[in-house]
Amino acid sequence: MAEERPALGNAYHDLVARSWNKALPMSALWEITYACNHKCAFCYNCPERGRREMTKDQIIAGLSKIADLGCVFLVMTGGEPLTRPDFFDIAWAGKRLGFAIRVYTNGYLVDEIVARKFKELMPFEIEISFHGARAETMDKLTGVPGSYARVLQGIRNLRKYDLKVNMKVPITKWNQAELRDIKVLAEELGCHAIFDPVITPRDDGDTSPLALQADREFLAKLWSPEYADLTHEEVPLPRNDTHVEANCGTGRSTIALDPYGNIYPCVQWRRSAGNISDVPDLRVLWKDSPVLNEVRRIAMEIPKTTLKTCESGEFCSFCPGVAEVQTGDPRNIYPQVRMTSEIRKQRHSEFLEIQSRTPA
Amino acid sequence: MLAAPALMVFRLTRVLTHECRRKPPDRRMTAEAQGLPRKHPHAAARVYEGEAFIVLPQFHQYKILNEVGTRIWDLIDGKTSQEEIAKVISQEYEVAFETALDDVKQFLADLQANGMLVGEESTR
Repeated sequence: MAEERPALGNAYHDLVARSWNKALPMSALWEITYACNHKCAFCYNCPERGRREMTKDQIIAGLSKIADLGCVFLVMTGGEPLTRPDFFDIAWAGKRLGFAIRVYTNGYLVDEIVARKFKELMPFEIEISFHGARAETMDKLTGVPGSYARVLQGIRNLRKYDLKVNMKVPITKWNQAELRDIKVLAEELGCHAIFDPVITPRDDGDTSPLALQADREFLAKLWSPEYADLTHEEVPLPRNDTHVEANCGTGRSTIALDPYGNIYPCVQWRRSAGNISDVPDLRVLWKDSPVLNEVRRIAMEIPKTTLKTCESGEFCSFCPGVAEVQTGDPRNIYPQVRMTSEIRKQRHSEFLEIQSRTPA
Repeated sequence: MLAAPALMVFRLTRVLTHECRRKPPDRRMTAEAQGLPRKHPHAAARVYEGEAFIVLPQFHQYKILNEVGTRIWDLIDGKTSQEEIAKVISQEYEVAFETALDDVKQFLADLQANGMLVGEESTR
């Protein structure tokens, strides 16, 4: 999913904008395992068969280097991070290194004991993938019968301790009719629901997950006032690039690692800049890596080139990582972004037209 | 040496980007914060371009400190008293010790009130 572009007039967003413009590393995302107890039809992970994932000690040594680099957020994800029996050892090591921890989990393993451990850890937020308002829908998408009931209970266990839980909902053809019911459910649980219309190819370029993306007719509705309570947008607005030069924070405010220790500019753009175990000082790599410097340069070019040549470019939420894996070139517009930007532009034009016809 | 007006530069910049669902901590300074101030173990902080960015997971909040606030934050280690902190600030920013001490006390009270120092809200 594309990052939210920082807005002006808010000290936090000003800082994020500076991190994009000046490459100040704020957030590290680490896929600490590819093991998972769900079999989501749209998952983008591509585990390397037979390759050993990093040990707890190797990860903790890596976290120390990331802390020296200056990241304040540590996103622990997977796979399903809670399938690692040493998950809380790693998380506490991160906490002691001064990170604010975010956990992306499917929630399936969050029983009462795990919830209590989270309460002690006090992560900044826990993001739980949620796929439907009905058990049949969710279980079909996760490929695991009973997952809806287990995950729902996991969320309740966390909320009992007043932990901040976001329900992250990738929008697919299968659940697009249930979004409003999911929002109601999230409100009942005291959670924030985040709806994400972006389905991405697998990391190896396999585009089969895209067959599940929501259809055009639905997306046209999604960006209409009818769904403004879900999208938090009365009308789609064009990008505001006046205070951020780069297309996104890839390799600027973010860094990502896989379970083998490979370092990437972000979770979507899988150009390895090295391996954390081989890097004595991550600050040197951050500054001098040809890979990171290249992706930073491309991310700066995109608003001036790719988006300028696209008819609806000002409405594009463009991801160069997806562009590269899907088209072979990080500067190419890919079909999903073309479709969504066209719809958003059309909706914006319709709004302006209605406004011009409305008497002042 | 940096010359700067004391009260203005110590002012804590509050940034609320996440809904705060819990009641704010008690505004009274605890004896611990008044004596040897100590950072709250849940507070995660890094300095970006001279400004401390502090994440408070227990309140779902971010805070950003200005330059002098960041310097004070650096000096808070559970071993340094507020008088010692004021002495450093007085020397580095060319302000009278008494002025620096008043401002440091006020600033520490603000940090305490915002859950950034160990006090009644501490859980570990």
